[in-house]
Amino acid sequence: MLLLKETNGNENKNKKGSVVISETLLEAVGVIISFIIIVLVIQLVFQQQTAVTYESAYESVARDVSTAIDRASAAAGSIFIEQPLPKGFQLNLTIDYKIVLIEYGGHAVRKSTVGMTYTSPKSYTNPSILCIIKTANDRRVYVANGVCKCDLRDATCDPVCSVQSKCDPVCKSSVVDDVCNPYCVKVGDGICDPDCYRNVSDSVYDTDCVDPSNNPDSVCDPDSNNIKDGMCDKDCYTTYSNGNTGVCDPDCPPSDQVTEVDGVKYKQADGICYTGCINETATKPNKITLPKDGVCDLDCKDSANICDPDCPDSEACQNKCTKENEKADMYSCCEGLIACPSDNICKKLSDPMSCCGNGICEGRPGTTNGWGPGNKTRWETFYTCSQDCKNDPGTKIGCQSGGSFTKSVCYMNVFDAQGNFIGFTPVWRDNIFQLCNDEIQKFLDRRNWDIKELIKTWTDRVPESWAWDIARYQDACNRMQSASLTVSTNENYTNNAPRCCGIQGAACEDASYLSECNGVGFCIDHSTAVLSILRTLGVPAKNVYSVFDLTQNSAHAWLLLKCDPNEPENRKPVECEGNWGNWLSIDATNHYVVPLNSIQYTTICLMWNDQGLYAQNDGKIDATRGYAYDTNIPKTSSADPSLCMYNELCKQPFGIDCVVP
Amino acid sequence: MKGQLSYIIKPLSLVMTIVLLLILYNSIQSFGNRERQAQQGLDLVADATNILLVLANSEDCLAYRSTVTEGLYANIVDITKLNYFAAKYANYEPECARSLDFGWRVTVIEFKRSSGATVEGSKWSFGASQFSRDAAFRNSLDFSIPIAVRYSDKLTRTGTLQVHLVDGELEKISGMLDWYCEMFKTNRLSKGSFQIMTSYPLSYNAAQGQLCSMSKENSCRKMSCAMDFEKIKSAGQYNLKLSYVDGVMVVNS
Repeated sequence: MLLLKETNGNENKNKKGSVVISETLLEAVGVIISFIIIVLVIQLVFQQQTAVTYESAYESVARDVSTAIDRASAAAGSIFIEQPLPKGFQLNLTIDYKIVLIEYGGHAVRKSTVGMTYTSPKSYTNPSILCIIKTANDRRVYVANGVCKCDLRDATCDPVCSVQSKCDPVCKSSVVDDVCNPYCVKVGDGICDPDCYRNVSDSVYDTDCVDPSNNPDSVCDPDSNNIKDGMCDKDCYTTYSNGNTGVCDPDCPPSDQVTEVDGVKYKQADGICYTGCINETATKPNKITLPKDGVCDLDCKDSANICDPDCPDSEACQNKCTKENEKADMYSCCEGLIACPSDNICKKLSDPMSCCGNGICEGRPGTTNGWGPGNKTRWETFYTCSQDCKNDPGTKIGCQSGGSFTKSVCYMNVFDAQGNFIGFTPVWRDNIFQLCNDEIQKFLDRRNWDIKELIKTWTDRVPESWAWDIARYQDACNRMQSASLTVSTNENYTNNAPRCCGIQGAACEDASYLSECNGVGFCIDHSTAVLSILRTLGVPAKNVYSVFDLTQNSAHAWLLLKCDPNEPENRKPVECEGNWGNWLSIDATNHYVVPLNSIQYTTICLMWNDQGLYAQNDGKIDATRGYAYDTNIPKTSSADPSLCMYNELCKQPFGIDCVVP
Repeated sequence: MKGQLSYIIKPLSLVMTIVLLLILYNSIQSFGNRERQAQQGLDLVADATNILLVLANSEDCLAYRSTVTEGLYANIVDITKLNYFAAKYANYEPECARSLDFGWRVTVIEFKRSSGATVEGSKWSFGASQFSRDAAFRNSLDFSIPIAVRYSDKLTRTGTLQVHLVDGELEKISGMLDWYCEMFKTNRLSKGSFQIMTSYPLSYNAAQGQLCSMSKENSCRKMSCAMDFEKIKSAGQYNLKLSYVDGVMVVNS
């Protein structure tokens, strides 16, 4: 810009020369600046890349080491792994609590380990290979520098020797080195390995570590359980006392505290009732029984829940209980009695209504003064105990006797000559439906003759709901049972298991044998019993059916109930709200009541009840032919009606062919 | 004219060179970031595998130990331990498989036979119940391995052990705080410091013993130590200074 201004001729000459110099100078400066910038940028890029490369390389090393430690700690048994590290790295490796730390050139990278090592921190400079050892007995993971070896002649305690079942003599020392080699521990050799004597189980107990002059020593080794070593470990004695069971030291209580009075040995009271050792067969959830060791512990003598059989008048050993018509505030009711939930007074167990008459209505669980789980036969309502439950719900209008058709069907598995399952065949049995039966009326009485209460039972958990007898799958079709048996057995079922085994020795998968299981039934028993209950309640025959759904390899029965808005309140389920005119599915086996269109089913083969097949009580079909099911009920795309064996199904009880739409 | 043109071209070429260099620098930086993300993904996968293996095979976690042979069996978990873990660790990870870098929650699903078909049976779940959200969340992974659930000598059911692993700011910060807590409790350290980066304010709920990241919806994690934590009121990088006084970890930023 200065160059554009002209004055006189001489000055102009001078300026011309200046212009040339300035341009060249500018170009040179520009090139230099460009060069400097390029060099700086390249240097920056290289520096950063070098730092990133370094960091990621060291991170990889840390990741490899932490993964190897985790793999070792995840091993089910003892193991050793050699982990080579890349050569040429200048690093300081530290293995600490849940961490692998690598320090290099003023920087550090860190990786977390998942497993625990239970060993002291270790640090190594420029290691080329690591040996990672897991010993199963004490669950420790050791990390050592160098190849894995068990050298019995060097001056190092090699943990690999433990894995190879050898004793490295260097490990047999009283120096704390983290290594507890169980093959080096010899009882009575006078050498205590402090690594084997600790508050954690390592399957080793070195009695040489027990020191009478250092008792207590803050260690109660769990591996000393049931081992007699001549000294009561005061750490175990104080830890496992006054109801805390666990490590049993048979030398406790301390002998110097035992005195003899009138031929009975007593341990003087010191505030500690030692419960480390117990009589397991006699101990119950609410009462600990100590073994008979000839010493009465005065601290246990007056305990309400610790029985010392060596004490002549131990309270807890006397099995005190509360007698009939007395309050069970101190002791539970004697055998054969049960405490009423409202006043805690013991009444006869055998009489389901023994609490009726105390002026308090004691109903189902969850209600005020209600019974605990598993007491269904004792539920008080206006219909079971009007003295105590004075409000008449007005729902019982007598019972509906219903039709004469009492048969129920079962699909029996059919096998070929080689024993392969090839399909089903229907089998009908008499005397299954039972309307107005005594047991069914009692069932309804306990639930106020209200369908809402009934549905609570089928959707609840056992023991309030119905159990499932897995043994029913053995010869099921020949053992179909009456509705009253299913109802009464489930009313008396008190176990928490939803699936049980009613026949001892039967193949019942995971279900256990229970004598009270025999009769609780399975799907078809539940379906016919629910139908008998609902028909006794007064549900019209056209609104309730038992149904069978078949797939290629399974059969399931449940119940259909139509949501009829014209029914009285005690026959209107809550589940019908918003679903009037449609069918509900009631499954007492799987404990749900939902609209039919919300469940998955395949082929509903037939709908039947105490009036017979679906069409016969619908009144639309002549007496010789009938629809097997409501044609308005949609089938799934995979439905296969041939599975239902319709000809056999209808011929057996009705002598007709079913109409299959 | 030629001279005037060179006045334009020369600075322009200089500017172009600088722009090209900046683009080169930027692309190298972005490659570096992608490489870093890939490595973090690798860490996540490695930790997921390790967590599942440790849970299933470590005696301190769920592995079943035979009282007869005193041995463990690979991938057979003990129903007693499973019930205990589901009850005790409903909201935090058990120490036996805790990762200080990531947070996780595990679900065990067993399979059983019902009416000839294999169906899902019982479910158990334990581990952290909340994780970093929104900007504090970096990555997550779901992984599973087959296991067997041992009920008794006669009954063992098959099942899966599934882990949901989360990489986030809250998990990293609480991991470091828990590490210092362990160092303080075992008298290995008396004070310390470390740098954190947080996208949201952080506070400590003393009643629940939880460190909370206050994003739109709070995410909290249970801490191993009781803390006297100076609240961090805004996002940013902080240098946390830690000390241990009368069993309480004092954290100042």
